[in-house]
Amino acid sequence: MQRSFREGPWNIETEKGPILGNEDVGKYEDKLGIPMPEMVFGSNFLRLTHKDSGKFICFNAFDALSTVKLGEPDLKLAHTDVWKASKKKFKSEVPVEPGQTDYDVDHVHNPYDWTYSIEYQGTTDLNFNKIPESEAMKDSNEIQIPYTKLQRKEPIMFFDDVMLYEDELGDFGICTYSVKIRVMQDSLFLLARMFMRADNVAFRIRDTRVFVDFKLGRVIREYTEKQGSYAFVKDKIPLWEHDFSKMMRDPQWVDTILPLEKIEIDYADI
Amino acid sequence: MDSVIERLHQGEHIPERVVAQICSLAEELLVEESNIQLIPTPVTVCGDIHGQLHDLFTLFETGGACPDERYLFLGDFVDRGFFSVETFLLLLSLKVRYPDRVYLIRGNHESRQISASYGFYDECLRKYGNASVWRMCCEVFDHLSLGALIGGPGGVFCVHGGLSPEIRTMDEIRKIDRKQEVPHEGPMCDLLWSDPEDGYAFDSVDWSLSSRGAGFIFGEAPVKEFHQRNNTTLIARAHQLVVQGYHEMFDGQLVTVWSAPNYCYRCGNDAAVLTIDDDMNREYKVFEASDHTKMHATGQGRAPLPQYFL
Repeated sequence: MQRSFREGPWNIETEKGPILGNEDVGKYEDKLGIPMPEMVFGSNFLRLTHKDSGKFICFNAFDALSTVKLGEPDLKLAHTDVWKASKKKFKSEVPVEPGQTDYDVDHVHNPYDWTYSIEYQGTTDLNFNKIPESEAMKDSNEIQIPYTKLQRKEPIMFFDDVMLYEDELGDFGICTYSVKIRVMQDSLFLLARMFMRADNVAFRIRDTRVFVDFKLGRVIREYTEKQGSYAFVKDKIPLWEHDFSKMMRDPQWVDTILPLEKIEIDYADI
Repeated sequence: MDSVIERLHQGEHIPERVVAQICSLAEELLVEESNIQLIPTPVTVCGDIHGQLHDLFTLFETGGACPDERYLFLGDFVDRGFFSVETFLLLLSLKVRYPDRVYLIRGNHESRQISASYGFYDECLRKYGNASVWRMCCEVFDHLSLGALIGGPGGVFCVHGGLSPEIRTMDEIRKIDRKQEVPHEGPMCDLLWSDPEDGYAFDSVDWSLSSRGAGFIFGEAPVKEFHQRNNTTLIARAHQLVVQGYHEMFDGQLVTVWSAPNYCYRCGNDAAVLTIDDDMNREYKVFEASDHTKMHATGQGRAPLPQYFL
């Protein structure tokens, strides 16, 4: 389903459809050289286009997944060492005979970040200026998203929530990437969030927030990284909470628990 | 047992003491089964169900009523969907009522560790107020067999996940002591967890370690080797979502069957079952989500309610 909102200086378009079929998954995999998440919402996107200049910022699944890191991943499953040791033991006891298919527990063919913890901040042709990291950390920094203003419940003229991909990490956790937008009378705000839980290993949240002040013509983009161990988050679940698995897959709640590790702010004037 | 089956069809709650009876009768049957069950043709093979009870009804409409038709379910009965309790109880009740018409093998979700985190445990707590139903079901999980062979020599090897480099022959599977929680290592773990792969430049590799650090991905060579050694022609497995409901690989030597339509109430995928007839012909029957499952669907097709997110 396609939706759009064309009042004000920006055109806002969203599209939501079903997940990719086998054939398209194959095409993505050939192009990107990695296995795709279980659910890739290939036709989904959220796009903001500045009417006067034609400049845009867009979030879509293909561009997002093309930022998945290749090479040895920095996280591994909790039971990796036990599993490898047992396979090595078996191989030493029952050697592979000539002609049999061989296996190697120390070699990953075409390794990639299986947690799909991307740092994607959107696809754009806006000329963003990055403010120094030391500035971005400060509350007194002049260029920042006006959260006080956003806490006021100004009427929302357009809202949407678009999923780009989701993977269950082979039943070892979850990773989702979704984009939400709300458009008010004189501004818009969007949140693109990567949420990842690797069971008994770690949680990660990578958020890209974009705020546009229509009058000022300024686009502010804030990127943050949060991370914490699985045990750290699990310990924070209130004792009276019964629905344990619900808490463990609730990005909003986990976001309140995880410590901030990195913040980057850039802006573009048009 | 007929009245339990009828009640489950009506969506009625099954009291805890009845659950205890079903589980105990099922265990008595399952404990006698070999790790590899021998199943005659014709039979209909079904993939993951994941608590989508109303789609299981559609499955029986698609494949033919039980016990008129013979069924093999490849595991992953529970978790994710909202009716894991009823789904598992219905399959168990059918097994108890028609032991030679219904066959169940174990999926990776039929374990304490996984079903505690992915919905089944929470559902049991919600519906029964305590964990005893979950515990009883987990006891049954430990009795489920690990695989099946359809049709004898030249037949179909069925398993939830896939192959293991520790397993060269089916006799090696028969020797596994299966009555335990699914372990983190060893052949039993591989059979329930491993995945085939023919994409993303998976060239000339027999077995690849997963990027996750543990678990194998297998290519065509181990599949060929397995067929030659065991005199089989097809591996039928489930475990991975496939959008069209089934997906053949390696020139038809392996198939993934997936039987949960519109998975997690938002994927928009089809589901399928595979019927193997007396001449070992394959017939795929595709079906869509039930109206009930569509009712739970979120996100697609309508504008969501505005949120003041930050």
